[in-house]
Amino acid sequence: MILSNKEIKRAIQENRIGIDPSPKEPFKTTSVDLRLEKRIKIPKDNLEIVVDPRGKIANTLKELYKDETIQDSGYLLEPGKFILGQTFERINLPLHPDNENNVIAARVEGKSSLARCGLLVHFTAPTIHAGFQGNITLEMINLGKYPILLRFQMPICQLIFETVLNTPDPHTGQFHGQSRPNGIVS
Amino acid sequence: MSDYWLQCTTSEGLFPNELAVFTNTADGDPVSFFVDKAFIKDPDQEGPNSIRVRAINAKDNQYYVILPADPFESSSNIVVKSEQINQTI
Repeated sequence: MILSNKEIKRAIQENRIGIDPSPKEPFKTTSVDLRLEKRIKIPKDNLEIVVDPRGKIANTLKELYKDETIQDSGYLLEPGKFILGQTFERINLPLHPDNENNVIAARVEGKSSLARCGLLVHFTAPTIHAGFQGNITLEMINLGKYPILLRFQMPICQLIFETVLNTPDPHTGQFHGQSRPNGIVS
Repeated sequence: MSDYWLQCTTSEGLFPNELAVFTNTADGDPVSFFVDKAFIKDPDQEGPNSIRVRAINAKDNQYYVILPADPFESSSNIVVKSEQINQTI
Protein backbone atom coordinates (compact mmCIF):
# COMPACT_ATOMS: atom_id res chain seq x y z
CA MET A 1 0.00 0.00 0.00
CA ILE A 2 1.34 3.44 -0.89
CA LEU A 3 1.99 5.72 2.07
CA SER A 4 0.20 9.05 2.28
CA ASN A 5 2.12 12.17 3.29
CA LYS A 6 0.81 11.72 6.84
CA GLU A 7 2.13 8.16 6.97
CA ILE A 8 5.44 9.23 5.44
CA LYS A 9 5.88 11.80 8.20
CA ARG A 10 4.99 9.22 10.84
CA ALA A 11 7.41 6.69 9.34
CA ILE A 12 10.20 9.29 9.41
CA GLN A 13 9.45 10.08 13.05
CA GLU A 14 9.52 6.35 13.88
CA ASN A 15 12.81 5.85 11.99
CA ARG A 16 11.21 3.46 9.52
CA ILE A 17 12.21 5.90 6.78
CA GLY A 18 15.44 7.88 6.88
CA ILE A 19 15.96 10.90 4.61
CA ASP A 20 19.08 12.99 5.19
CA PRO A 21 18.94 15.94 4.99
CA SER A 22 15.28 16.11 5.92
CA PRO A 23 13.04 16.97 2.97
CA LYS A 24 11.14 20.21 2.93
CA GLU A 25 7.49 20.08 3.91
CA PRO A 26 4.77 20.00 2.90
CA PHE A 27 5.19 16.72 1.05
CA LYS A 28 3.06 15.83 -1.93
CA THR A 29 0.04 13.73 -1.07
CA THR A 30 1.84 10.44 -1.74
CA SER A 31 5.54 11.13 -2.38
CA VAL A 32 8.62 13.09 -1.39
CA ASP A 33 10.68 15.09 -3.86
CA LEU A 34 14.43 14.46 -3.87
CA ARG A 35 17.11 16.77 -5.23
CA LEU A 36 20.05 16.32 -7.59
CA GLU A 37 23.58 15.90 -6.19
CA LYS A 38 26.35 17.85 -7.93
CA ARG A 39 28.50 14.78 -8.73
CA ILE A 40 27.61 13.21 -12.06
CA LYS A 41 29.22 10.57 -14.27
CA ILE A 42 29.61 11.12 -18.00
CA PRO A 43 30.30 8.24 -20.42
CA LYS A 44 33.66 8.58 -22.13
CA ASP A 45 33.65 8.75 -25.91
CA ASN A 46 35.23 6.35 -28.39
CA LEU A 47 36.12 3.51 -26.01
CA GLU A 48 36.48 0.07 -27.53
CA ILE A 49 34.77 -1.74 -24.68
CA VAL A 50 32.12 -4.43 -24.71
CA VAL A 51 29.99 -4.48 -21.57
CA ASP A 52 29.77 -8.11 -20.52
CA PRO A 53 27.63 -8.48 -17.38
CA ARG A 54 29.69 -11.39 -16.08
CA GLY A 55 32.73 -11.24 -13.92
CA LYS A 56 34.14 -7.97 -12.75
CA ILE A 57 31.84 -5.64 -14.64
CA ALA A 58 32.11 -3.11 -11.83
CA ASN A 59 35.69 -2.52 -12.93
CA THR A 60 34.56 -2.14 -16.54
CA LEU A 61 31.95 0.43 -15.61
CA LYS A 62 34.52 2.50 -13.80
CA GLU A 63 36.47 2.71 -17.05
CA LEU A 64 33.38 3.85 -18.96
CA TYR A 65 32.70 7.04 -17.06
CA LYS A 66 34.49 10.24 -16.21
CA ASP A 67 33.73 12.55 -13.29
CA GLU A 68 31.88 15.80 -13.75
CA THR A 69 30.57 18.35 -11.28
CA ILE A 70 27.52 20.48 -11.84
CA GLN A 71 28.74 24.07 -11.70
CA ASP A 72 26.73 27.08 -10.54
CA SER A 73 25.84 27.68 -14.17
CA GLY A 74 24.40 24.16 -14.41
CA TYR A 75 25.15 21.17 -16.63
CA LEU A 76 23.70 21.07 -20.11
CA LEU A 77 22.29 17.62 -20.90
CA GLU A 78 22.14 17.43 -24.67
CA PRO A 79 19.39 15.49 -26.49
CA GLY A 80 20.09 11.78 -26.59
CA LYS A 81 22.82 11.95 -23.98
CA PHE A 82 22.97 9.59 -21.02
CA ILE A 83 24.59 10.32 -17.66
CA LEU A 84 24.52 8.94 -14.13
CA GLY A 85 23.52 11.15 -11.24
CA GLN A 86 22.60 10.74 -7.60
CA THR A 87 20.09 12.15 -5.21
CA PHE A 88 21.38 14.80 -2.82
CA GLU A 89 19.53 13.07 0.00
CA ARG A 90 20.61 9.78 1.55
CA ILE A 91 17.82 7.27 2.02
CA ASN A 92 17.59 4.58 4.69
CA LEU A 93 14.89 1.92 4.67
CA PRO A 94 15.90 -0.21 7.66
CA LEU A 95 15.07 -3.89 7.93
CA HIS A 96 15.32 -3.86 11.70
CA PRO A 97 12.93 -1.25 12.98
CA ASP A 98 11.20 -1.76 16.31
CA ASN A 99 8.18 -3.01 14.49
CA GLU A 100 9.44 -5.71 12.17
CA ASN A 101 6.05 -6.04 10.53
CA ASN A 102 6.19 -2.49 9.27
CA VAL A 103 9.12 -2.53 6.86
CA ILE A 104 9.08 -0.07 3.97
CA ALA A 105 10.31 -0.23 0.37
CA ALA A 106 10.12 2.55 -2.20
CA ARG A 107 10.05 3.39 -5.88
CA VAL A 108 11.85 6.25 -7.50
CA GLU A 109 9.81 8.02 -10.15
CA GLY A 110 10.36 10.97 -12.39
CA LYS A 111 8.63 14.32 -12.13
CA SER A 112 5.96 14.99 -14.69
CA SER A 113 7.21 18.53 -15.27
CA LEU A 114 10.67 17.31 -16.25
CA ALA A 115 9.21 14.41 -18.21
CA ARG A 116 7.47 16.96 -20.42
CA CYS A 117 10.92 18.28 -21.29
CA GLY A 118 12.01 14.78 -22.24
CA LEU A 119 14.02 13.97 -19.12
CA LEU A 120 14.10 10.41 -17.82
CA VAL A 121 15.68 10.01 -14.39
CA HIS A 122 15.52 6.23 -14.27
CA PHE A 123 14.63 3.40 -16.54
CA THR A 124 13.99 -0.25 -15.65
CA ALA A 125 15.35 0.19 -12.13
CA PRO A 126 12.85 2.06 -9.96
CA THR A 127 12.78 -0.25 -6.95
CA ILE A 128 14.43 0.80 -3.71
CA HIS A 129 14.37 -2.40 -1.72
CA ALA A 130 13.71 -2.67 1.98
CA GLY A 131 17.11 -2.54 3.66
CA PHE A 132 18.51 0.03 1.21
CA GLN A 133 20.87 2.64 2.55
CA GLY A 134 22.58 5.37 0.56
CA ASN A 135 22.11 7.95 -2.17
CA ILE A 136 19.90 6.78 -5.02
CA THR A 137 21.69 6.51 -8.35
CA LEU A 138 19.74 8.03 -11.24
CA GLU A 139 20.09 6.85 -14.83
CA MET A 140 19.35 10.07 -16.68
CA ILE A 141 18.75 10.59 -20.37
CA ASN A 142 17.38 13.48 -22.38
CA LEU A 143 14.84 12.07 -24.81
CA GLY A 144 13.63 15.52 -25.76
CA LYS A 145 14.59 17.61 -28.72
CA TYR A 146 16.36 20.38 -26.82
CA PRO A 147 19.12 20.58 -24.19
CA ILE A 148 18.03 20.53 -20.54
CA LEU A 149 19.94 22.54 -17.95
CA LEU A 150 20.49 20.44 -14.83
CA ARG A 151 21.21 22.33 -11.65
CA PHE A 152 22.65 21.25 -8.30
CA GLN A 153 19.88 20.53 -5.78
CA MET A 154 17.09 20.93 -8.32
CA PRO A 155 14.09 18.68 -7.54
CA ILE A 156 14.89 15.76 -9.81
CA CYS A 157 12.71 12.82 -8.81
CA GLN A 158 10.12 11.68 -6.33
CA LEU A 159 10.10 8.75 -3.97
CA ILE A 160 6.95 6.75 -3.40
CA PHE A 161 6.90 4.59 -0.26
CA GLU A 162 5.12 1.30 0.17
CA THR A 163 4.66 -1.00 3.12
CA VAL A 164 6.09 -4.50 2.94
CA LEU A 165 3.92 -7.18 4.42
CA ASN A 166 5.85 -9.14 7.04
CA THR A 167 9.64 -9.19 7.34
CA PRO A 168 11.54 -10.11 4.17
CA ASP A 169 13.27 -13.47 4.29
CA PRO A 170 15.32 -15.33 1.69
CA HIS A 171 13.30 -17.62 -0.52
CA THR A 172 15.23 -20.61 0.68
CA GLY A 173 13.02 -22.97 -1.27
CA GLN A 174 14.50 -21.86 -4.57
CA PHE A 175 17.95 -22.85 -3.32
CA HIS A 176 16.98 -26.33 -2.19
CA GLY A 177 19.48 -28.88 -3.42
CA GLN A 178 21.77 -26.47 -5.24
CA SER A 179 23.91 -23.45 -4.63
CA ARG A 180 23.85 -21.43 -7.82
CA PRO A 181 22.85 -17.82 -7.47
CA ASN A 182 20.09 -17.94 -10.03
CA GLY A 183 17.91 -20.57 -8.45
CA ILE A 184 17.36 -24.15 -9.52
CA VAL A 185 19.40 -25.11 -12.53
CA SER A 186 18.11 -28.13 -14.38
CA MET B 1 17.80 -14.05 9.94
CA SER B 2 20.77 -12.23 11.32
CA ASP B 3 23.40 -9.81 10.11
CA TYR B 4 26.81 -11.23 9.26
CA TRP B 5 30.07 -10.06 7.74
CA LEU B 6 30.68 -11.64 4.35
CA GLN B 7 34.25 -11.68 3.07
CA CYS B 8 34.76 -9.66 -0.09
CA THR B 9 37.18 -7.47 -1.95
CA THR B 10 36.45 -3.78 -2.38
CA SER B 11 37.69 -1.11 -4.71
CA GLU B 12 36.72 2.44 -5.61
CA GLY B 13 33.09 2.90 -6.66
CA LEU B 14 31.55 5.14 -9.26
CA PHE B 15 30.47 7.71 -6.68
CA PRO B 16 32.29 8.80 -3.51
CA ASN B 17 29.66 7.28 -1.21
CA GLU B 18 29.99 3.79 -2.66
CA LEU B 19 32.48 1.00 -3.25
CA ALA B 20 32.71 -1.76 -5.85
CA VAL B 21 32.35 -5.14 -4.14
CA PHE B 22 33.59 -8.49 -5.42
CA THR B 23 32.83 -11.87 -3.90
CA ASN B 24 32.01 -15.43 -4.97
CA THR B 25 29.18 -17.89 -4.50
CA ALA B 26 29.74 -21.29 -2.94
CA ASP B 27 30.22 -22.62 -6.46
CA GLY B 28 32.91 -20.08 -7.20
CA ASP B 29 30.82 -17.94 -9.51
CA PRO B 30 31.87 -14.28 -9.36
CA VAL B 31 29.48 -11.70 -7.96
CA SER B 32 30.08 -7.96 -8.19
CA PHE B 33 28.08 -4.86 -7.43
CA PHE B 34 28.26 -1.29 -6.16
CA VAL B 35 27.08 -0.58 -2.63
CA ASP B 36 26.98 2.28 -0.18
CA LYS B 37 30.00 2.46 2.14
CA ALA B 38 27.66 2.12 5.14
CA PHE B 39 27.53 -1.62 4.47
CA ILE B 40 31.33 -2.07 4.38
CA LYS B 41 33.27 -3.01 7.51
CA ASP B 42 36.23 -0.82 6.63
CA PRO B 43 34.87 1.76 4.17
CA ASP B 44 38.26 3.41 3.66
CA GLN B 45 40.00 0.20 2.69
CA GLU B 46 40.43 -1.16 -0.81
CA GLY B 47 41.35 -4.84 -1.07
CA PRO B 48 40.26 -7.60 1.34
CA ASN B 49 37.24 -6.41 3.28
CA SER B 50 33.83 -7.47 4.61
CA ILE B 51 30.29 -6.48 3.77
CA ARG B 52 27.27 -6.59 6.07
CA VAL B 53 24.64 -9.00 4.78
CA ARG B 54 21.54 -10.73 6.07
CA ALA B 55 22.05 -14.47 6.16
CA ILE B 56 20.91 -17.75 7.58
CA ASN B 57 22.94 -20.88 8.16
CA ALA B 58 21.18 -23.40 5.98
CA LYS B 59 22.85 -26.74 5.54
CA ASP B 60 26.06 -28.42 4.45
CA ASN B 61 28.12 -25.54 5.81
CA GLN B 62 26.42 -23.10 3.50
CA TYR B 63 24.74 -19.78 4.16
CA TYR B 64 21.86 -18.26 2.26
CA VAL B 65 22.72 -14.60 1.91
CA ILE B 66 20.75 -11.50 0.94
CA LEU B 67 23.12 -8.92 -0.46
CA PRO B 68 22.34 -5.22 0.09
CA ALA B 69 22.53 -4.47 -3.64
CA ASP B 70 21.75 -6.18 -6.91
CA PRO B 71 24.82 -7.85 -8.42
CA PHE B 72 25.53 -7.68 -12.12
CA GLU B 73 25.78 -11.44 -12.47
CA SER B 74 22.97 -12.80 -10.33
CA SER B 75 20.09 -12.21 -7.99
CA SER B 76 20.79 -10.51 -4.67
CA ASN B 77 20.07 -13.86 -2.98
CA ILE B 78 23.15 -16.06 -3.17
CA VAL B 79 24.63 -19.08 -1.40
CA VAL B 80 28.11 -18.89 0.07
CA LYS B 81 30.39 -21.22 1.99
CA SER B 82 30.40 -20.90 5.75
CA GLU B 83 34.10 -20.01 5.75
CA GLN B 84 33.21 -16.87 3.80
CA ILE B 85 31.12 -15.68 6.74
CA ASN B 86 33.35 -14.00 9.28
CA GLN B 87 31.36 -13.38 12.41
CA THR B 88 27.96 -12.48 13.72
CA ILE B 89 27.49 -8.73 14.00
